[in-house]
Amino acid sequence: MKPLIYAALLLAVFSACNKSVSDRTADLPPLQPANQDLTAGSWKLILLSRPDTFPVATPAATTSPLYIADLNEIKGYQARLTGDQRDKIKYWSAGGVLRWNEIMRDLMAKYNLAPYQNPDGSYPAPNAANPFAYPQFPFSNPPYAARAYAYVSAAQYDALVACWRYKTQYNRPAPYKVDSSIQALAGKSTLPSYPSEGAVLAGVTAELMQLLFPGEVASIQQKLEEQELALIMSGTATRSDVTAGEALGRQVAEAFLARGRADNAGKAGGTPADWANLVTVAQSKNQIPWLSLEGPARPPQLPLFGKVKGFLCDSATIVALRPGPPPSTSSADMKEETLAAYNTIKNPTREQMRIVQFWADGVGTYTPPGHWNAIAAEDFITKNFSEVRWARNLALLNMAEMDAAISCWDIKYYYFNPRPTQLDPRIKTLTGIPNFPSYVSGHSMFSWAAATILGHIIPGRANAYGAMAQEAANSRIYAGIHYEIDCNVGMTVGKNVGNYAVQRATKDGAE
Amino acid sequence: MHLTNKVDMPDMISFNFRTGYRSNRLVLEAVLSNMITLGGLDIRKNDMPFPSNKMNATMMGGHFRYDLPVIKRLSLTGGAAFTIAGRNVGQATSFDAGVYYILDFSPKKKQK
Repeated sequence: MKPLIYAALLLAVFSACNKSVSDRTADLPPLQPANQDLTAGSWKLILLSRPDTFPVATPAATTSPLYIADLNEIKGYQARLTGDQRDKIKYWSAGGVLRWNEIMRDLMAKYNLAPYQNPDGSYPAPNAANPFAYPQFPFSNPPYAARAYAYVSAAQYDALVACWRYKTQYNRPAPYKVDSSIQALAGKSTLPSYPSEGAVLAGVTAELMQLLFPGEVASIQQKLEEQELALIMSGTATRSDVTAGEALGRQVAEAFLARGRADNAGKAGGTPADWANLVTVAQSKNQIPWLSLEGPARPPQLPLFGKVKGFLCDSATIVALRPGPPPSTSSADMKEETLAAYNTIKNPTREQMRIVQFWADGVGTYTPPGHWNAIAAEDFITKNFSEVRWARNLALLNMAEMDAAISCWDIKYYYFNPRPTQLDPRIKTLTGIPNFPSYVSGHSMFSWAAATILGHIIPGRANAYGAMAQEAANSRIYAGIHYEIDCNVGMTVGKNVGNYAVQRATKDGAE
Repeated sequence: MHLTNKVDMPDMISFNFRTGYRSNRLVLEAVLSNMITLGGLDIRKNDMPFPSNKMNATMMGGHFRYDLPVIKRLSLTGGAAFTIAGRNVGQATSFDAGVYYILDFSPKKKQK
């Protein structure tokens, strides 16, 4: 039989079916608040001493040539709106607080990357002065993220309270009310339009981002311009409403930026001397000190974050929140806890693995505080809160998360307790081992603080939030990175921090 | 993307070039295959991978099939391939081996 030589070239192109994925919040209707909260101008502020700390000039009369020119600009846009412009109007009309929160979560996920080691085994530190060099600034780990969410939410709240104060003072009607030929493409409301609440949000958020995400100043400015143009094109606000709003927002942000520069977060990384001291202190208490389990060993994550100035808790309160110590690292109790961690990890069920993955919120994600922002936003959407109430509720949540981070990091470095894997190397974890001490669990604290304040804001969901918090805490035990006691004590302290937010909520004039 | 359990996946092109020797019982071939992702993002330094990452690879290998003379309808196959170039993929070397047995359901032809 003759041998046959053959050659064949196969080309297969897999043409795709329609598999485009759309955002869960992409098709939201315009925000139509059930209550405009017209008294919000007198709600209790967070940082500003008065709602009129920053003056907003009296607007031109709606009969003035300046205002007529503003209306003509809107009419000019509305006469020839493109599909893309309509999409932008639709996007922003769902609510400025929601959209900026989503943008923040995206950025947090993008920047949640630990620096890679140098060839000599040391680690480079992100540098705010040079955000485009490697490693990128910031490394938005959970404490960084908690603080960033809190600053933006708190500043948005103060800025909107000031905005509401001037809205009710000047009482300028919306453009579509003054001129019936202007369409209300983002829905109608009874809220006065000067200064524009959307532009206040754009201004306050963009200004804060300069400190928090210095590498994103350009993209944030783009979002600001997009939102402001959407406000004008939709007939919601005039150019003068927007200009006044943005200026007010930026001024309020400056006050928060000044606080941020002096809140000790810049020093939270500590020095090699601080890191060595943590080991010495633990050894002086006859405890096995925590060790980084990364290769090469990485310096502990933000060991001085416990010294950051919280919004709800002062430094004395942070010390008072400290629970008693975990069992001694040489005690029989600790052996038992470690053995329990080993036994949990040996045969994980599929359900346990799902829970570990769902709550991991590790590298490249918006972190546990971001996860709770997502949970909150999903529920707030159904409540049709006014923008100022949206901001207030997120500020309460995020101040609780930031103070939970401060308290948790204070406790972690006060006790400097090793992770289960350090005491028993047989423990193979189901997720990455966080590079900071074990006691108490950050997930447990973040989740219980969040569940406590969210359960106060939406009492009907309190049990559901509690169940989620419990599952989030359990996920760390199933993953083999925490002892049970870390999560149980974390629950108690987390609830205590959450209660400080609840106390504020009952007294801020919004309930 | 927020709170969605779906991923926008990029399309891909895959092609391979095969050449070799074929006799009554033996098929021997060399395989060069290539996979290109149209779109998708690189894995960043120290980041986690994601299903929609760009994954390109060129693999080189060989493959054979041999029909056993002793038992009719039974043949053995096997091969190996290794990755000679790639992006966001592991440099994998793979081996495969198999046994084929043909189940003949067609009506029996009369023997000559």
